[in-house]
Amino acid sequence: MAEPTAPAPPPTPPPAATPMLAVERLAVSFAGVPAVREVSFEVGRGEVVGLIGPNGAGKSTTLLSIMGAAPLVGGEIRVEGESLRGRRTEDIARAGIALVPEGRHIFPKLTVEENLELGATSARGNGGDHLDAEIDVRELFPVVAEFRHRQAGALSGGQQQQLAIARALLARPRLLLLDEPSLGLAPSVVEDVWATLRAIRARGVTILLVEQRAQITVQLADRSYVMTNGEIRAQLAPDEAEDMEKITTAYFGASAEGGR
Amino acid sequence: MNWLQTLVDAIGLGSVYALVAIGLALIFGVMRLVNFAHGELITAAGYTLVVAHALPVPFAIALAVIVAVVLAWLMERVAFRRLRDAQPATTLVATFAVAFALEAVWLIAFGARGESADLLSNLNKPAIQSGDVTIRWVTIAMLGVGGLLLGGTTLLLNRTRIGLQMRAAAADFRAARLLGVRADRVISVAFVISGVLAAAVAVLLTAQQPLVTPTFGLEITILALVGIVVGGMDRLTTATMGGFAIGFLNSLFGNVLPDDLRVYLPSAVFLVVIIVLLVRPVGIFAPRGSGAAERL
Repeated sequence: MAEPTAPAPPPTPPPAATPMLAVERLAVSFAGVPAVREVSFEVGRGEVVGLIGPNGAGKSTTLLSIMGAAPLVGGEIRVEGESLRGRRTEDIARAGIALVPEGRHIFPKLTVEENLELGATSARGNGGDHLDAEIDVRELFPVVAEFRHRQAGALSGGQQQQLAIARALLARPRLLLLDEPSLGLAPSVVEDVWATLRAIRARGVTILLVEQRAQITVQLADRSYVMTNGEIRAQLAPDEAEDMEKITTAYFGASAEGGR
Repeated sequence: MNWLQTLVDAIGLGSVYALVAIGLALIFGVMRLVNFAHGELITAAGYTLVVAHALPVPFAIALAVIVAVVLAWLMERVAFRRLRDAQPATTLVATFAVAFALEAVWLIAFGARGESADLLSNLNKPAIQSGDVTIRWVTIAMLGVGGLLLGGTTLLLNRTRIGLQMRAAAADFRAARLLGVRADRVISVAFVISGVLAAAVAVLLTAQQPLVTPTFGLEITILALVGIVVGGMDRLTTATMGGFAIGFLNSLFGNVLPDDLRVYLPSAVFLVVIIVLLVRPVGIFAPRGSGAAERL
């Protein structure tokens, strides 16, 4: 069935200096309780940026607010200079931003094929193809190709994660958001997921990666931000991945000063 | 008392109830909304047939479909859309409000006694006669239209892109929206389909018995709803089977019970319902060991 073609904004090539994603003084509250306080950061085109920090730091909330799925109380979110504030989740997805949500959220009763088909929804919509990179999902995700007629719920946790990432890539996004892709997976499987992320990265996809596994995220990302208590506390470069002291201080600095 | 005849008639009416059940289950699946106002779509189509009785039959039916579809679309657009994120109790009460408001409209416009929509009464003539069993055209129409629309809905859900999006939205609405599935579109399509199904029910019911009253659609909707809950609300197939079963039983008991006991028919049906829900809360047709999972 053909999608109705809404009038798409004229494609103006952004100046090179415009970052892919700019989050400016983002503030989110749930029922008056602040979850994200004045967070600002940028992701450049083709960059991989990590957002690490303990549970409840506001990392997932930051991703959800980019997707228009969290109650913003302040701040601005721009993709290539264009504001996303007030836009609906599905329209943000169609504008070329794909989220692989925490817990994967594949459709377990649908087949692998149907899950992938749904992933292509945004690329087919008025958003169109936002990805410069050449990505062959079948080559990158052999598991997904092998089990395409199987129910997605029958796949293992690691395979489901691969499916969730493949599904997001089929949207041909300009920005890929990943929320804890290693959560709940066995260590050997985590390594597979990480290999996939490296492969995607090598193809030039812009990625914002939220993770609790600090060290391997800092290693993979061009730069990582440490978020605790709704605020960004520190920024780490890949060569600081071995500097456990710095990571630990960034994580627990505030509470350590509090005399715990 | 002719058992075979009773059975044939019950199968016909069961098909009509199944159509009501599909319409209700579709809306429930996609947006977790128990649409009590679904019956008003049936009533609206029924009154359209009353008003349009002078037109050629195909035009009158087409008009009934259009009225039911437009009303379904409007209902969602005007009343339910802004309540999409509200508590289930709020939306349930809203569907009651829409139902009773429309019922008041029917009452004012057409009166309480009911009007006749007898443009298809010819269908009550026998099509097949064998011994003392008569199969009327209307029974064949009920089975045929019921099967066709059930098949059509299934095909739409399983073979089209919007159908896939509807199934995804029914399973996990937020995940579907994250993939770019348009919530408004999926829900509008579900309401439009429920409008088509409601119009078909109105045509079939008036063919059998032409009197349209302000509660014409409400009664069958409440019974079908009971059938859905008993059958298993979470799946389109079990909901449809539940709808068929309640229509079948209602027709069967209506014919079998002696006249002086017939007033107890609703009580008897609800007694069966209570027992079933006590024994199998997920529904009699739901697979063993299944909780709330796939919805369409």
